[in-house]
Amino acid sequence: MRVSDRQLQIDYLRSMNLTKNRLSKLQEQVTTGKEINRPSDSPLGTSRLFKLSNQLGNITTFRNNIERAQTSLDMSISSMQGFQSEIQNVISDLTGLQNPTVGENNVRAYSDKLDLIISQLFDFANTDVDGQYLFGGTDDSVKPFALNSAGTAVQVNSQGIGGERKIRIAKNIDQKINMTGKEVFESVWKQSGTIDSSAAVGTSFSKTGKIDGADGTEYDFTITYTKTADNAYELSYSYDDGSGTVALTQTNDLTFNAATGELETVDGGNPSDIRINIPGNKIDFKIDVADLAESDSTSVKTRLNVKANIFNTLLDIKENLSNGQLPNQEQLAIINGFNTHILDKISSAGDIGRRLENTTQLLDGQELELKDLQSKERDVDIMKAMVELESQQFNLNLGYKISSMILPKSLMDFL
Amino acid sequence: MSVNKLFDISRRSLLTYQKALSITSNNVANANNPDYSRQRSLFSSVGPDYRTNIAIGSGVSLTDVERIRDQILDRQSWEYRQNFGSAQKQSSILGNIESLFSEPGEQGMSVLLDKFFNSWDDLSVDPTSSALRSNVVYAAENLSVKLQNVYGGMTTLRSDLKKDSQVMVDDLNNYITELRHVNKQIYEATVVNNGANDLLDKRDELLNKMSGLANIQVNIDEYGVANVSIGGVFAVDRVHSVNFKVFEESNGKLSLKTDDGNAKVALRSGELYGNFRSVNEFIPEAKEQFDDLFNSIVFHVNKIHSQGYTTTDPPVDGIDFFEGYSNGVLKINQDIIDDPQMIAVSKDGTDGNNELALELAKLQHDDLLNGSTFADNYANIVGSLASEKQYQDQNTETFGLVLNQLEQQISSVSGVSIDEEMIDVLKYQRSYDASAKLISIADEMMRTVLQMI
Repeated sequence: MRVSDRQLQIDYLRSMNLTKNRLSKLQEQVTTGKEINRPSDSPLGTSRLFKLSNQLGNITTFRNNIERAQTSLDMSISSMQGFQSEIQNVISDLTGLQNPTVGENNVRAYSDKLDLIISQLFDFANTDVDGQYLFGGTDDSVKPFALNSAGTAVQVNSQGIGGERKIRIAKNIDQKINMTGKEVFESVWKQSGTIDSSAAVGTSFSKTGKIDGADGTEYDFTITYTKTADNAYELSYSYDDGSGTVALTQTNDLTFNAATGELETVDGGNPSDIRINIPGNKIDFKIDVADLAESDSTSVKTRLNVKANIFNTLLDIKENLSNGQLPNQEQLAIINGFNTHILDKISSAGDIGRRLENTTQLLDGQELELKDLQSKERDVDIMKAMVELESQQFNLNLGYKISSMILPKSLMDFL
Repeated sequence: MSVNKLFDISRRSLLTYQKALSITSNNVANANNPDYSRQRSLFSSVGPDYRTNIAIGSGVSLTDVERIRDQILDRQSWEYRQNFGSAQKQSSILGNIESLFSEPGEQGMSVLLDKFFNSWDDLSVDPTSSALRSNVVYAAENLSVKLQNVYGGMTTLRSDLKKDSQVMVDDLNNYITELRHVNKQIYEATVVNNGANDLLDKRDELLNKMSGLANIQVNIDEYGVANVSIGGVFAVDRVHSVNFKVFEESNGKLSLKTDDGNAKVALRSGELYGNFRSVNEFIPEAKEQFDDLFNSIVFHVNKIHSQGYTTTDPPVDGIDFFEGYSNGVLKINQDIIDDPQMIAVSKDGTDGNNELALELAKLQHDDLLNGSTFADNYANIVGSLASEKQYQDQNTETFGLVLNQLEQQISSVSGVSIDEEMIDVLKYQRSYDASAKLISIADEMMRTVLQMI
């Protein structure tokens, strides 16, 4: 093959250009420490990096959320423990007062002490962090519990005291992170299960449970569900203290979604708790109907968390003590029942805390694995790159040397 | 044979080798001219005078100057130059588009999209927090700014490419006009049998330049005239030539037509094709995908957000988070920018309710567009452009390699070798010296004869 002078130049320039391109690529990889510096370096790798970055971003968010949630959860547990400790003291003191040797003056004196304890209990129930009331549910900017104007009963100010706050701790897992004032401090009669949607209009069924007044009187309380139209029911109420049944004038309307069967409205508004307040009998509790639904059969279960409101019971006891009257056994049973209940709630909050802690550990492990994958996908093998860089540098130097030796030479140099 | 004939033969020989040396020196002078084809002196012996009894030749003459060129290699190089130009241009433009995305990195839209949805997760922990509400607005603004940069960058690039295309077409028109003149000169020189070698080099140089810009079809006639058409449309012969112009159609696509607009060029390769493909396909397709993505984000975010209540006093519902999306502009509700308390994540109107914040955060995992998530849709936009860039990079390398080999072959055939030329110089110089010596001998012979008188 005939070799022209320009042919040598073309060949040399192409070779040098190739070497410089490789050198430039390797230098970029070494200086950035990354193998993928732009999507076209590896479209598939870039797509994988997007996914890994998305997952790592989620993990960071979940972990930050958990850290913030743990702070308020720890404060909630601390307040509940304080509350429980005071209740324990009250139980101990009231048991002591039952001793026949305790004089009436001591009984009256304890009334003042109990008044202070009740104030303390209100403070625990109204604990706030940066203006947010821990037991305020989702209406946490309002102090949830206060005394009524007469100072005889508790008044709940928060509209969303039962509102649960959830955060995401994994892609498809929402975790409740608050203890609501409703579940901890209120007396709630929960109704759950299904109502037969095919029942004829006018059909009714009842549910009866034992409710206490704050004075310790026990009542058989009955809720009657009467179907008033398709997907609509009226709730009516009555109670019996053993001397006869008394019907309340209060009624409430429930409607269910015709398609899904889920509860749609309570008294025409968003689903909410129904409050039963009979001041004359010192009855004050809530009926929770949120978990009721319409289906093809009727199976409604009920569960009462505490038999009477703890604040109202203590206020009644305090009032009686100031008159030298000791609390009755049913009232002591209410306080003991509440003590058990709040211990359960402390335990539940502890469970949530442990779950959050475990999740944090799980997220830490996942983060480590994902970062490892990200590094494998994105980062350059620095040793390998350096060796290749050296090799290309050598090739370039060799090219320069050879070109300086060969390119300018021709027969002219030897004539 | 008379002594005088010796003078004639020697004189002819001197002139012949002088011309041959001129041709060689022309070759040496053009050794580094890439468009030059080496030329070769063709000698032939001058016939004898048949009037004498013994036929003795009359010396040497230069009959032609041959241009060494392989037309097959030229045609192949034109074809690969077109493909190379197209691939290189597309690779360069796609590189520009790719740089707009800033991927993969913290400033890329992928991360900003994640941060926007994760900001709703952050807000879910404390829905009344002003800082977390501002963080949602900040994340949305960052996303919006990045989108404007990317989208705006593509719009600017499109405008630049349109101008660049017109400049290329102006160059193409100049080459066409010049080629018409060169064709005419080649024809005139060939008809009267004058050498047209340098004109043919000029012709090939122009064809090389034109083939880098567009897919040309070349037909060389018996006179060496190049008849060229571009994408099926006549461009130039030795008498006529046509000017081309870039037209923007009603759908925003660019096309190349004759300047009267009557004939449309079917562009398939060349740098112009690279520009046109970017303007007509890559950019509008990417923009369309962005439009789909952000219209979907706006729709789904607003659908949930408008169900929520603000934390203002009194709480308000029915508020859209985004005012809308159009042509790369993602507008956040100005009321929300002015007062982040207008962010509505409470489902029941209580300040601490975070149900809608959770629903908004979960949007990032739902298959809401084309059967996949928002992030996957964005990854597809980036991935398809990156794959195309990778493909064009490979084409650039492949076509470049073939073109390089063809240039090597052309250079092997037509390029000047200094060694070869120097040998010719020595050869012709010796012949020239010998001819001069012959004149000296003839002179002595003539002198001897004259002394006899």
